[in-house]
Amino acid sequence: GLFRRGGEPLPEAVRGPFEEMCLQRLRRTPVQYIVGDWDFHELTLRLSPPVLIPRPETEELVELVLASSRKPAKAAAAAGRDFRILDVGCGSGAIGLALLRQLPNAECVGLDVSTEAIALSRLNARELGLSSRYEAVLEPLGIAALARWPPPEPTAAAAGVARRFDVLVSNAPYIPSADMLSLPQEVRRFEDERALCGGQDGLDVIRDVLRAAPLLLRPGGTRGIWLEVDVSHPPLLRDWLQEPGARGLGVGMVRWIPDLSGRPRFCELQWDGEGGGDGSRVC
Amino acid sequence: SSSMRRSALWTAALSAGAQAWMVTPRAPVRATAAASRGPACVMVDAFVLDRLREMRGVHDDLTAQLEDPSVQANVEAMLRVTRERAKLDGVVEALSAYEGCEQRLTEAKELFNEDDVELREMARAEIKEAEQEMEALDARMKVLLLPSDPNDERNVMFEIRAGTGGDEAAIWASDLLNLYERYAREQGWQTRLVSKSDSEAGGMRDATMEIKGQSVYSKLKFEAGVHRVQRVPATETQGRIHTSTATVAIMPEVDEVSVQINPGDIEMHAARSGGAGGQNVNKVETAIDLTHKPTGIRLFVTQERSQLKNKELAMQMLRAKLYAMQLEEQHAKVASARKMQVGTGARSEKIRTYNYKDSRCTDHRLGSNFALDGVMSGGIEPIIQQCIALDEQERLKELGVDG
Repeated sequence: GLFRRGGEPLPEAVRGPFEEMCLQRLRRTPVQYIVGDWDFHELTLRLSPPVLIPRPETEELVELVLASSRKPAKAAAAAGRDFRILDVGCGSGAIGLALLRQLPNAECVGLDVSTEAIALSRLNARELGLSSRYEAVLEPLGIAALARWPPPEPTAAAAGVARRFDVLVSNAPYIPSADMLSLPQEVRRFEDERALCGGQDGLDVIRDVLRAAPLLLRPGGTRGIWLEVDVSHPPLLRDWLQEPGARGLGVGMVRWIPDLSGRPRFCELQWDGEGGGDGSRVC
Repeated sequence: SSSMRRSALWTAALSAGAQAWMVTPRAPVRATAAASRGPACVMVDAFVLDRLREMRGVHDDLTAQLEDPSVQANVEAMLRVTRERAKLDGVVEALSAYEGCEQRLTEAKELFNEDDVELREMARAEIKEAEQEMEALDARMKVLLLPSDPNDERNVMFEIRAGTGGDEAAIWASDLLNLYERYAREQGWQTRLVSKSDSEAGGMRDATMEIKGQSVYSKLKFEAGVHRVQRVPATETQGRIHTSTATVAIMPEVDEVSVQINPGDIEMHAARSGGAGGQNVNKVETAIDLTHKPTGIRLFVTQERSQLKNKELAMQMLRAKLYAMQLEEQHAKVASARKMQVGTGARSEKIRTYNYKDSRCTDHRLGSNFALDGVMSGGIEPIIQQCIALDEQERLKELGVDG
């Protein structure tokens, strides 16, 4: 509306709230938090601090997962089976909900450490009419809890998610800690650090996701793992997976794919269905 | 069966693509008196009536198909037959109105032969009425003969580009955009600005607007071309009149089926993506830079709230442009002598001149003038109606039917 009628003065009723929004923006509050919602893929999602605001690259991650999941999901439906997706670090529910919208018979579990994220993804699922197929599960210890088996303390989540999923997707925190200080204020001051920082090389959480993968994936499913990562990560991950400690996981890098800015951003990996038996995931 | 053959022929002709719409000229058919039908003065060409009766035959065949249980079982077939049949409803209606008039005329003429003076007067009045109606129907029926442009019902991508002339051309382009926005709203259409490049001194270099609604293309298709303005620019200090131009392009919106795009022909990347990207940044604005390699078409789309929507919009615009190029090629092949050419805006002919000093707008194809004030506030409906009428006249002439 503003775009089209740029020359006209603002109506009285709207002026107050609009000026308040401008003040917030002057304090570097992200626009998406000010407006309260934003478009992602084919959805509009409610957004509120400190839950991570979905990035445009993550839309491309959704497209990649969709391209490889449409056929298996259809085949599962035809055979009367479930098709289950696990979204590790679900945040606002963006990835899982966008996938569910396009895959009419799939189900999704979203896992997150943050209570705000769980509340927000549940809200979004409800508003999008997807609650019957979407479950948000709080795991306060994070995916680390599932990276070792048996877990140090049995958690409710661990029991619920074992060996159930056809596809694992994750936009886990991947920023190296050194880069955290130079983030723009919108990000640094308003978004959850736990959704951003991946430790020294940025791979701490991602490594745990891959350690947990053999526990989470169905041996009879696609065994596919899709990650969004920092641009430095793809070769580091490939190498790590071949190291003696990690090799036993049975997870291999299939390929990595650039985003629309030409940066190596997405990794497709696969679990062989055998690795990661009890004990060998301690690495 | 012959009725099925006729059906197939006419259904094919009626649903043929743009090429069928641009019928090649045939030798003019002389109007013949249809002695077998009674009335001595025939106002309607026998050729026209014959054709229309054939079309009614097709309508009957399609009606019979709707009763067929095998067609009823197939939803797609039902929809298609219903749609095709509905296109011919106008013909059936006009023909039955015409035949009704014919009947009345015959009866009235018989009455006219009576001795009774009063009856003769009634008959005379009746004859006059019937003949007037038949004349009106004549015009309508001729138009019904024309194959319809398959793009008529489509929505459009409406594009304006400022011509040379610096700031004034940019201001003119934006004045034109306002004109068409108002016209579209008046028509009850939805408009959505999908791209706009502003010029520094006010006005714009180019803009693309998506227009959705009923029969949008059928009305806007004659607006494509160069619109020239002669006026004293706002920026002019010495009161001199300048001439500037803006080019309007009308591209019917098409779906993915109508225009095939090979993914290998496209290069797409996110523009404005300096810096780290990903989790490191909060991106409010995403911009897609799309190049179609074979044609060199380059698009920059930043309108939408998500990168995916910008991608989809870019592809939509590309499809519209590629389709418009196909249309241009087809139009060029049918080198017609018509004044009313449906361009897509690729040619450089001036179609309209807007003269502020004399307060008039001239359409060069119609050769007529219109009051400028009405035009600039979006009141171009009379111009468009005249364009449609001239186009019909010319196409009828090519068909060999005198208008």
